[in-house]
Amino acid sequence: MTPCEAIQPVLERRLLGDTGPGAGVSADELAALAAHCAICAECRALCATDSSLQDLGASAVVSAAELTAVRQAVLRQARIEAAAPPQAPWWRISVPRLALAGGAALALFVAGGLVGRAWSARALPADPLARELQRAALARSTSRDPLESPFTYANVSSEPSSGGRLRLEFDVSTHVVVERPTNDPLVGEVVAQTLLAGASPLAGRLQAIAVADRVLDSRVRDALAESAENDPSAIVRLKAFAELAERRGPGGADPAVEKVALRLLAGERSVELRLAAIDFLTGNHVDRATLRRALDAADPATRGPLMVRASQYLQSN
Amino acid sequence: MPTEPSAQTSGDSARDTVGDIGGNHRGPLEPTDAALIAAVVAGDLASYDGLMRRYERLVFKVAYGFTGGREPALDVVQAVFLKALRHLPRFDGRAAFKTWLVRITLNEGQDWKRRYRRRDAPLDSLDVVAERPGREESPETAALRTEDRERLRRGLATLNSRHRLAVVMRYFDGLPVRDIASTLGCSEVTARNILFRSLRRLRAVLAPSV
Repeated sequence: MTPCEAIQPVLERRLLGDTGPGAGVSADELAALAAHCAICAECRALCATDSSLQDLGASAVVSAAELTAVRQAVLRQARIEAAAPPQAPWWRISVPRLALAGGAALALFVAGGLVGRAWSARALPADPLARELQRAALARSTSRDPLESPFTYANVSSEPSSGGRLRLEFDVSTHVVVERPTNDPLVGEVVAQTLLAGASPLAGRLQAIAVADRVLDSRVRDALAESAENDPSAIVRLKAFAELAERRGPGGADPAVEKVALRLLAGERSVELRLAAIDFLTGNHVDRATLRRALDAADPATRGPLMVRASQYLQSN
Repeated sequence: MPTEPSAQTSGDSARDTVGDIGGNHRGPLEPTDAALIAAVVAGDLASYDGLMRRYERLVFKVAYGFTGGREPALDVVQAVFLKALRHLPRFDGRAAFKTWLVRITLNEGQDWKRRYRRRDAPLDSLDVVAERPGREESPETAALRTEDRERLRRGLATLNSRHRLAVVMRYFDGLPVRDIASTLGCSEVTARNILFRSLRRLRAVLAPSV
């Protein structure tokens, strides 16, 4: 039995004691362990790893406010889902019920045509989102907690209008959780808008870039290009360009990406990003004269590293 | 999916007889998990708030073990609680609610890892930047500690999900080996072996030259 094998039971109890690390280990055993660790780098490193893991575990802290926000988001989403329970597909609805529903719809259509004008003053708003808001508000008006809304209203302006009405203008937001296929237009729109709108935090924009390659939507490519050139964060610009650079057009490099790279050479502040642009352009055999012109337009104060990176390509035949 | 909170609650329903459901963070006068679950299934969403409060830190810590960052861990927590709520009517009480929740977290953590593999680096870096050294530490010690954490996070990501869960439960939530074994569905000896093997692997990440 090696010294390590002999001390292993003590080491295990020291590290994994059921009533806490170190519990159930006698002073003699601890002294033996310390003596062993003094000469055995392997066991010493194991104890150090244990300490580091405890340190890492202690760093996993979260504030009560963050957890409260998560709980509220979960309950908000649950209420939305409860308000709109999933419908059975039409082929699973019985024929008599379908006929009944069809008849009712026809009757409503006819009746609506006759009395529609009389109801116009109380009709639901034409805008689908406003209709959704009105339905939610109606549901909330009779609930147990009417002040808790799934929607957040901001930038509200209200003024009296004709006929005793009130004119409201506002921005509205809500937290939505959906799972959709990657080719779903909603996925494309959300990912693209995350990059474009600038309302998402840095981590959200980085996430959007990380999933962008799975989203088959031309808007995402355009949003990446916009982000690579104009996002206020250098790391987002760099990541967006790296993602863009991996995209291929039908005949090789995407010409739109080439144009982005050339514009970056002239206008980008980050040297790292401009070097990435040069690597992309030289890797895709851009016309040398075009590359030279772009480099000439670059800021002379930071042009040096770019010229060095591009020199071999520019001098080759 | 439970509906909007209603007057109907059933704290003394038949589900209360399920003996092994019980949160380890509740006081003597607080309702059992079983009572809360029964109330949620009966439509009382407010009871779900109570269940979430009871286990949110555990779920967060397990999620953190997967993501290595606070923000993505919170995303996983939200997904876990939503999924648990949707499937709560089908929870049969054969396993403890806590165990069931940890398993959902495990699955969500795996999904997160699959979806966001490529973003690990920037998010980890951001969290590390956000941390501040303790008052008693020199900048050098703090930097070394940060470096250790960063390497450990990356090392954790290389463990398989079972090993990572064992480490997270042990070091992030301080669970005894007995509870870890119960969650993993294995014997205590196996759980110990898993923990020890994981430690050795992480040791290699921290001090590859030893």
